[in-house]
This record gives sequence, C-alpha cells and structure tokens, in this order.
Amino acid sequence: MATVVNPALTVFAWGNISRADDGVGPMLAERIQMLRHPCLVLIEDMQLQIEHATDIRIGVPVLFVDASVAIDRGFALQKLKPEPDHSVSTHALSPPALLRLFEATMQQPAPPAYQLHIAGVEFELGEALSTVGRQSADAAWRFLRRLLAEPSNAWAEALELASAESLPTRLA
Amino acid sequence: MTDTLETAENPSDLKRIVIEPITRVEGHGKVTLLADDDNQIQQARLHIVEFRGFERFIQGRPYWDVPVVVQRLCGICPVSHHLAAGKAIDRISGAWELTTTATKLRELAHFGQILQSHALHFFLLASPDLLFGFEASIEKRNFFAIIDEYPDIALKGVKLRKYGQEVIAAILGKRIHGTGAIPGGMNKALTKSERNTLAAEIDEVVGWSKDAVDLARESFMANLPYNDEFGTVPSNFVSLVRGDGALELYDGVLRATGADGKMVFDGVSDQVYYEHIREEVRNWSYMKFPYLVELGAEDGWYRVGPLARLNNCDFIDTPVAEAERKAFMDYGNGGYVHASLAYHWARMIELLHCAEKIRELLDDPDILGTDLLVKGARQDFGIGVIEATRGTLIHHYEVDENDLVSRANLIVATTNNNQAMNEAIRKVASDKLSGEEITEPLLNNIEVAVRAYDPCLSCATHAVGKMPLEVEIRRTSGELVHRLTRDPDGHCR
Repeated sequence: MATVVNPALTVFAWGNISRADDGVGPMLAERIQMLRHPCLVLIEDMQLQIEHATDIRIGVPVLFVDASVAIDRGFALQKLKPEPDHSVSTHALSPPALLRLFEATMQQPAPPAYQLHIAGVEFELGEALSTVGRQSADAAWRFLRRLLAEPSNAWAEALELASAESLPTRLA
Repeated sequence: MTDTLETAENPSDLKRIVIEPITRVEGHGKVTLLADDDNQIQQARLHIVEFRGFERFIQGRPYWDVPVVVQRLCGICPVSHHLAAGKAIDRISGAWELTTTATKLRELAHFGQILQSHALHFFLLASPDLLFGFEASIEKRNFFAIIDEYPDIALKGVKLRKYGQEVIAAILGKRIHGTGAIPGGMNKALTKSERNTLAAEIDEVVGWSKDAVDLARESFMANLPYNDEFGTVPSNFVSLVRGDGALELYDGVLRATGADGKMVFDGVSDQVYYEHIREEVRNWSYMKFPYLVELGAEDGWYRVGPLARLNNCDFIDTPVAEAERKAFMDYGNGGYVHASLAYHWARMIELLHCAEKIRELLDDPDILGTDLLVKGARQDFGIGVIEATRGTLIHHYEVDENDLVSRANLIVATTNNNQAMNEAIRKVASDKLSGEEITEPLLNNIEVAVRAYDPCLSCATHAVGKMPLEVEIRRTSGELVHRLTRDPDGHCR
C-alpha cells in the first residue's frame, strides 16, 4: 500500500480466511482496499502482534475489525480502552492490549479506538462462512461503506457516536 | 531414554490436574497430571490438537496452489510452510535446481521469518520467565511487566519482530499470504529501493540481535545448575545441515545424532526422509510421535529446533554467531548441550545468524537479479524439507494426472518435538511438583518447560472472548478437589 500522508483512520482487519467466519476480517479488508481511500491506512494480518503497535499513529483514530463470539449476530461497535487483558497470556494480542503496548512504547496516549465485532459461529478449518457470519459481515460492510463515504474529517465523530449507540448488552 | 510417568498403573485411584490452555505458547494445548493423595505425580502428558484435518484440506487442490494455501496453517510461521511447500512443488514441476537469485530470495524471506518468529517468542512469550523467575507473581509474568521494568529490552523485541516482517513483505509482496514461491522459482524480484530500505536498518538489527544473545546467555548462566537440570532429558537430535556441516536453515542434508554426539546418520537426502523417520500413534494423543528408524520407536525419539541445530552443526558461516556458537558449545564441555532451557540461548544465536545472513544477502548483487524461474519434467510427487523456526518441517505431496493433490503428509516441528516436550514436563513434574501442594506459580514450571520448545499449537484461528485459564484438580470420579482460575486481569482465585 502506498504511504498515506495525512491519515484520518487506521484500520486493522485480521483473521484466517481458511477458518470459516474467522475470515470476515480479511474479507472486509479486501473490500476496504478496493475503495483506495487516500486518508485510510489499512493493515491486514492473521493475528494482532506486537509490531502492530508501530502501525498506530499518534492522534489518528483506530478501527479494529474482527470476527467475534461476543455477540450472537450482526455487528457491534465498541469503544476501547488501552489495557493489558487476558491476551497477555497468549501468543497474539487483543486490541486493548495493543493500545496499551502503543502507549508504553511510544510514551503517548493511545488515539481513540473502536472495535467492530462481527458475529461468527463457525471457526473450523476449511469451512465456508456460516450464514450468520455472512449476514453479519454484510451488515458490517454496509456500516463501513456508509462511514467511509463521509468526509474523512467526520470519521472520528461518526465512530464515537456509533459506538455509543449500538453496543449490545453482551459487550457492555 | 525414559518413558516413566507416561502412563500411571492405577489411574482410577489418582486425582487429575489439568492446565488448560498452556499460556504464552502459540496455539492451544493442555497438560494433564495424575497425582496420588500425597501429591506424588504418577502421570504427566502434554496434549495438542494440531493441524486437524489440514492435510485433507489440501487434497484436491491444484499443486501450484499449495504454497499459498498452507500459509493459513499458522499466523506465526506462514513463510516456513510457504517455503517448505514451495520446495515440494518445485520437485513436482521438475525444477531441482533454482536460479541463484530465486534461491537467495527464498533464503532471505526465510531468514526474515525466523528472525521475527524467534524475536516474538523470546521477547513476548519467554522473557517474563527469564527475567522475573518461573514462580514470580502472575501479575509480573507477562510482556507488559517487561515493558514497565525493562522498556529497552521490550522495544528491541518489537523492532526485531517488525524488521523481520518487513523483510518478508519485501520478498513475498505482503506480510501474510504472499505469493513469492511458485513452481520453479519466484514470481517477484527485489527492487533496488526495497533492498536499500532494508539495508538501512540491518546494522542496528544485528546489534539488537547480539544484545539478545547476551541476554539469553546471561539469564541461563545466572542460575546454574538449576537451569541446566530444569526439564532436561538427554536425547537424539535431528536437523538439516549444509553439505560441509554448516548450520543450514533452508536446504541441506539430514543429520541425526545420538545423545552422546555420535552420528546415527548423516548426509541423507531429504527426499528419502521416510526411510529414516517414522511416526508412532498413541491412543492418548492426537499428535503422532516420530522416531528414528535406526533406533526404533522406544529409543529413537529426538529433538529438533535451535538446540538440535546448534548441537548438530559443525560451524556457523557468519562470524558473530559462530563466536557465540563456540561459547555455547564450550558450555557443554565438549559434549552436547541437553538443557531444555538452553533452547532460548540457542534460539537467540540463530536470531543473530539470521540477522547476519540478511545483511550478507542484501549486500549480494545476486539478490537484485531478475532470472527467477526454471522448468523441468513434471513428476507425480514432491518432498520439501526446511528448518522452520521450531525445527525440521517436512511437506510431502502426491499429485494425480489432473495436477490435483491426491495425498499430503506434513510432519511439523512441534510434532517432531512431541516426545521431547512430554519428557520435559515429566522431568519437571517429578523434580518440582511431586509431593508439593499444587499452586499456580508451581504449575508455571510445567509451562516453562513446554515454552522452551516454542511449540506451535495450531495457532491459525482465534475468537474474541475465548482463552480462559483454569487449573482443575479432580478425582477421576469427577469430584472437584481444587480449582484455580486466572482472571483476565491476571489475578488468581
């Protein structure tokens, strides 16, 4: 991807396209990539890892896009706080842990950050997206497309508003 | 070799302790312990569900698609699978010798892969044990405590990992799911601009890598003889070596040695690995147990990975890493180093070697060449063996008349180390846990032993909201004796 000079949003989308609903992150990354938005930095990977802390930019909002079992269907946008959570005992980092790592290594407050949870129910090897996963991904894409169609200087406020409005109970 | 504690005589009379999942390893696994009423450990087993169904997943695909598909096995070492599969399909396509540039590009990607993966394991997963102690409070046993107390060390880990990923992206087009290796070569040349970008940072990377070796060596030597004995069981070793005996990570011949350093075999072509390595199935494990045919299933188990490679090779062809190898072998007093915890030290010597090789290759005019492909007469099978981050990785495919994969067999490094990891936890269980009241910090000793081998437990999937950690002690009747739960904030209750 070409260098983004004045980024308005950093998007991390991750997962494994060979493991059913785990692939919704990369699937949406592909769609976002096709928009070729000049103010958007897109990072796609299989997992969140420590080096991704260096992809976060001071003051630039971050959107994490991933499959989730924290909701039953559809999608939810959750505002995140930097914190070392249970992921510190695993091989990959969670978004809050990555934000905390950014703060620790950059000695700067983490930018506003949100997680787009997309409901997934099947994660087995070789499986196609489940019906729930596909429908949830489509709904999430409609939300993203509307968001990214706005002027880039409106993205931060739109994410803040959306995260306050749509949090399902299980995530609260 | 010992198989004590593999199977208890009267399991129904014993209480069962389960550590699940094992933390700070890549993927999901568990350890089960059976103890009597005096807490004497009678049985210890490591359980892993690895690559479940993946070989079947590969079957039916066009063979040229395999190097791309197999990257989805693992979020940490996709390049290792990409290149092992790439070597196998080279042979299917009849390309037995690639162009100089194609070979060097693959080597460069491989060194980037091992550099980033070794860095991730050492700094993110292992360093809390090494710097704070195996039984430190759980609040300290994570990377964030390293950041707080050793920010310089933590930052080097982040930067080393990032640099390795940048090398991979330059060679394969992207950090994940790149398509560099194709039948008979590579599909993308390295540009001068990409080379210069990587070259600008490499001296610093070599320096950080040397610092990492120092840290690993000092942490090992700081607590002797404890570290030398912890989870240590003498074993055979298997690895590739270069034809002249040098450490070799991408392409070489197979060498197997006994615990005393004597050759079991040497100079064996990787194309006939199956004449020397077989796999045994045991009814309690999803993962097979490989062994050397020459020594039989009972005595033929072996270790692979950094410790095996350093013990097995005659020298390293980069100067700084070679000096560190000599210091490492001096520690063995002329014999092999068998300590499980010495894996960390060996791993960092390899990290340094990779950094030096990257510098060497970036300075090599061949790396900018554009002659990337060769062709040959197609055959109906292909075998690719490389030294992946964690050890010897074997990809073996057969294809039908329609170019579709009809059979696939993968023996991954973690499988090669299956018996070794089980032996290590049995040693720790016997030495550290038997007779003691089981506590969470004490159980971390078991995890430390597993962690030394850097197992990759099928880490290619994840789901938000999973990964609890619970340790339960139950009688086989199901009665709960004791439960420890590690909360997301790190507290135990």
